[in-house]
Amino acid sequence: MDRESLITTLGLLSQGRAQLVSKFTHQDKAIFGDMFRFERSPALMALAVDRFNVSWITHHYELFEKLDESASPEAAAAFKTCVLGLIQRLDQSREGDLSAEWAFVKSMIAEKKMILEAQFDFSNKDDVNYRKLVFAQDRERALFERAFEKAKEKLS
Amino acid sequence: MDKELQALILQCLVEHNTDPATRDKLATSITTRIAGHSKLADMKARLAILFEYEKNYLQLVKEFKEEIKFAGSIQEDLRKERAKFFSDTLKEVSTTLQASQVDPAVAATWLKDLVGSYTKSLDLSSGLIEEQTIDTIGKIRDDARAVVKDVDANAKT
Repeated sequence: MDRESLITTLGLLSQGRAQLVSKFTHQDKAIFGDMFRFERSPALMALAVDRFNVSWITHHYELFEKLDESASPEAAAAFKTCVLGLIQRLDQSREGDLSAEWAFVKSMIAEKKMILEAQFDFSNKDDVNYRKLVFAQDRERALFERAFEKAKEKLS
Repeated sequence: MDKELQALILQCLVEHNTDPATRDKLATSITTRIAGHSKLADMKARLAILFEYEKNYLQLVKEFKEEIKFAGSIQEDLRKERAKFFSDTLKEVSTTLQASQVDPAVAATWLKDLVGSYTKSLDLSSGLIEEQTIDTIGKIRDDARAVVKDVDANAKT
């Protein structure tokens, strides 16, 4: 990889980490809300953590979208590999968990992987792709809410 | 001492009717001087080859100086970031969670996950830097091999 591509890729990953930390240090309303809402239910808390992780991984694509068109395809390919690496960590984070919640999260992860694999491409970088991703995020939010409701019903 | 050379010199001295009393001494003295001279010439040639190798290696290091410096500096930045995360950032996040009165068990769950995500991203960055370093080392190695070949070829001609 050339030097510029490496700097670009490392920069994107660094921005991703900065955003991750800032969610905690700036008391992000959504995650701190979840921390209190689900404090008595480890299953729901795990689901909230997973939702946060899926959203953090998606944020990487948003960072990529902001890149200048002049960024190299090499940087795009390297960054895509890294984002898929983050997905893989999440996918392997609860090996052996047979719960319905984790099965749901696994399906979301698989879907996210498929969407993101097709997205990191400068030749393909247009509004249609971005809209697809936004739609996927809206759908994801709704499906997570449904999963929360189901898990809550199961617990009550 | 080169016995063959000495015998040849002695034979020459006989053919030229030199004084038999000094012939042996003369032959020994000439042989020693010639041998010393050729040793010096040989050493000079070896030193010249060695100098050529060193000159080319230094040129290589000069050529790749920026690449080496760059790889070193990004590795150092990442190492510092990792250290800062564990020494300061985690403490800051933990303090924020405590100040917000998040349940300690809940805080532990989120902190554990934060460490997992953050370190995975750092590891991926580190992997990219390692790849880059290996590429640079490969380039230096290839160029160094070419230098050895060139110097060897020049030494033979």
